Amino acid sequence: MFNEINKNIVTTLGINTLPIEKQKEAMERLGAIVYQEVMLRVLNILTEEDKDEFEKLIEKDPNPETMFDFLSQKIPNLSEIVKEEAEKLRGESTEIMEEIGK
Amino acid sequence: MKEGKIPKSEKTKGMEESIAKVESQIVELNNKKEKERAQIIEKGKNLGFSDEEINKLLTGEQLELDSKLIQSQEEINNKDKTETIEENISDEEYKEFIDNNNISDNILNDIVDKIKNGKQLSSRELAIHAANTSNIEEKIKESDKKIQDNEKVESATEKIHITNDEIENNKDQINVSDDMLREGKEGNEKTDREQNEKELEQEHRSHVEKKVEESREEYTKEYKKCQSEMDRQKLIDKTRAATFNILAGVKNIFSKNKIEYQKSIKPEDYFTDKVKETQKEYNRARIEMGNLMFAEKKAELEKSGLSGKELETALAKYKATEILTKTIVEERQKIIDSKITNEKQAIWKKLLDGYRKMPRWQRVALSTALFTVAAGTGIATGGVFAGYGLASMAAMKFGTSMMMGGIVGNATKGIDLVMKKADLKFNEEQDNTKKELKEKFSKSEVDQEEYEKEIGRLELMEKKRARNRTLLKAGVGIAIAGIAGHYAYDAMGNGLHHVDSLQGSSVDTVNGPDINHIQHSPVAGLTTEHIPQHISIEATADHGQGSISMIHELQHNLKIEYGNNLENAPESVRHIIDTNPEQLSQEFGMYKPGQDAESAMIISGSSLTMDGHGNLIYHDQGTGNSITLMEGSDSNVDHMYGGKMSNTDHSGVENNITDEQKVPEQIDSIREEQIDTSDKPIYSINLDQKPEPVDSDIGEMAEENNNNFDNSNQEKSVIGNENTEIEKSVGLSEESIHHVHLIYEKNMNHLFPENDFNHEWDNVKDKIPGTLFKIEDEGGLNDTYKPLVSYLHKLQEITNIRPRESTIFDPIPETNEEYIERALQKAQEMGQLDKVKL
Repeated sequence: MFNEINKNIVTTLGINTLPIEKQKEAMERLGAIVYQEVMLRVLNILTEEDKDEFEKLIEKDPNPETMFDFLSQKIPNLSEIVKEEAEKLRGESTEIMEEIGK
Repeated sequence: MKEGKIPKSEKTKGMEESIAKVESQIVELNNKKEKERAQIIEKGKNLGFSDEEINKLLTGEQLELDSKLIQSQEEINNKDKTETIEENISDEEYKEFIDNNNISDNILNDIVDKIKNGKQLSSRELAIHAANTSNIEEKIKESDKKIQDNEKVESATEKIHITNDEIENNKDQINVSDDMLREGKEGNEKTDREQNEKELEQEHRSHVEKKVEESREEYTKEYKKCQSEMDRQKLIDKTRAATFNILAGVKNIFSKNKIEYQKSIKPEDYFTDKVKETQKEYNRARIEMGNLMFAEKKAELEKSGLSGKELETALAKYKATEILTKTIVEERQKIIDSKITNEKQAIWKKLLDGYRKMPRWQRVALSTALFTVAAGTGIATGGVFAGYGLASMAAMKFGTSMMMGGIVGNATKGIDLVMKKADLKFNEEQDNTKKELKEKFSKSEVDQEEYEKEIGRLELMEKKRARNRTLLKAGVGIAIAGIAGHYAYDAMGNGLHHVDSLQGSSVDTVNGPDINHIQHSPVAGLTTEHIPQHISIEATADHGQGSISMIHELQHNLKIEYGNNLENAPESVRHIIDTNPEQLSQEFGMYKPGQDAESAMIISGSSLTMDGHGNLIYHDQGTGNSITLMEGSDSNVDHMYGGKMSNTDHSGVENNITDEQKVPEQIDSIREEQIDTSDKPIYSINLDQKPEPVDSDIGEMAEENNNNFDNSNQEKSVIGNENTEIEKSVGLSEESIHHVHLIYEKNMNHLFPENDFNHEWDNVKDKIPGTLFKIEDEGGLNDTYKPLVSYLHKLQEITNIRPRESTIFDPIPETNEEYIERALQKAQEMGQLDKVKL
């Protein structure tokens, strides 16, 4: 069961066939997409006051830990958003990439 | 045409005939002019025009006729100019030709070259040509036959710009054989056909791209409508649920059964069918684009002779890089960009700035966290983040704060179990090494000093391992807290896998993760500020590099890793980043200028690895030995390179072909292995030829480079190599890259010949091209750098690639040095390297 679940994004997208540096690069890019999608949704949810506070926070300390600590306090379903965006990217990428070069 | 002595008067015979022909044309034009004047006057009078009006008409005609006359006169003048072309055949050579009709091959080849390049011949050359026409034509034919590459034919035909009609009309003047004419026509027809095919392909591609664009726009429009509403509803629902459950808990304090708020928001409630339809359409368009790219690449690779498993592997890599980038990453980025509304602009910019400022390890750690949070839904990142093991753990720390449920796993319990297997292996290896060492010592094969040093090293490894175990358990305990049970454990296992073990493996969920490769100690407190900033940055000599080039690559990778954030970097990292690669190479004993054997002999696959503590380890692929050159606590070199040195050039490269590997079947197995394990370097070994000793090849290359050699033959041999074609699809071969590097060095020496003294190039090589372009635009460019900037423009023009700028994905822009190297490699791929040689 775990092995099935563990059919990970790296294998699915064939990233594991690349040299190490390229693997890092590819995952960094995919992570950046999820990060941005999450942030976009977060910005849609935050109140104006929270947004102001968040803006000040990232000006002062753009550390991801601090940012996510803040956001998880303001957005109870933050983890769901992250899951959804990561899953969306994985699902979409898989669906498309599996159809290419069949 | 007869060959032999010719009278001197004949040398200009052809010229005189041409002049006479043009003069007769002038007479003809004059006659025509007079006839036309008479006709105009007659017509004008018949139409009732005044003399003045008729004169105007005549003036107009006159202008036209005069222009034709002027044109004819220019032709004569041009013909005359051939008489004044600089003579490059010496009196002695010409006398030898006149007296004995002896012509050196060099002179004949020069004439052939001039004819092929459309250049005018000097009078002596014309005479020689007249006396040796058949010989010269033969040489031209031979030369043409060698050009079988379609691209070259196409390129040559484009240069000539002659249509079949023009060839037919000028058949006499061109003075070529029927065979050549036919070949020329066929070549043109083939070019036309290929051109048409290209145009059709281009048209098809534009059509697909348009489809992607339109479907994306449609999808984005619909998606935005729905997502916004769903997020709003979800937040309301969460708040409602929390309130309800508190109230329910209060009401049921005497009840064993907890009442849960049941309502859940489902995406299908908010995402309309229209969104789904548009998304499907968009996905279809992207699949079409991907398949088109795939088909184009496949055709290209097949054309270059690739087939079977090699073709499959090359295509898989192309798919995982270019196609993934084009159809997924770039498309998603466009969608994201389209979602940035005006009111979000300011905060979005700050978010991105913050992201860009993160060092790479932190960005990768963040990615780890994001995918790890999603691990509960079956997403995991695999071992790709292994190099960031500790960072990943820390990243998960904040990742875990996002997890609902707060199930604290018992992961630390698993550590000893997991380590047990690795321990056994480690202990066994240690024991064997010690035993072997003792035996050697007892046989006096190693001296006491060396023996003690080696034993000390082994003991240190054991101590480090024990310390790591303790800290790892602490780290895992902290990091795992809050992650949902086995899913998280599983994902973490992935995160801990070393990249080397990644190939084709998934996590062994029975035995747990293999953390044998972990060399680094989690630090108490475990926050991203305090953890070691990387676990392993590597530079591998898989591109034909020598020590200097390898150090340069390591510097580049470290810069990407750390960005400007060097405060927490080990001293050794800072020393490496701040020091000239050549100097470092000397410090490590890998480059000893002035000595006969001046350069370390670097076997392909050897590597420099900077571990998380800042220890710099050189691994020699040839011997399998590793040596710690530097330890992280300071900038001193602790151990010097003690391997073989070579007397090639200071790049000191040797391919990974040992005597044993020269046996064909073993080469086969190596090659196969390299294809399967794609993170390993791909070697350029031609299976059809017995490999020559590489030392001499490299020596020759270096020698040839020093002598400004014509490398055309070299390129041909590279192009003709079957294996090279594999690599061509995914990059250049090792040999090609080395060759390009030599060209790079030669070009830079040409641009900055005094660099050794005044460091003109050293001063700007790490700057970004954009800075120079800006200074140029502002008119403030120093004369010293004008040739460099012109060269940068030329590289852009020929290769059509631009210097990489800072992006969200890679905040470190490309330097002048990196861009020039990359552009030269691209030129090599395109077969245009000659055009960018200086």
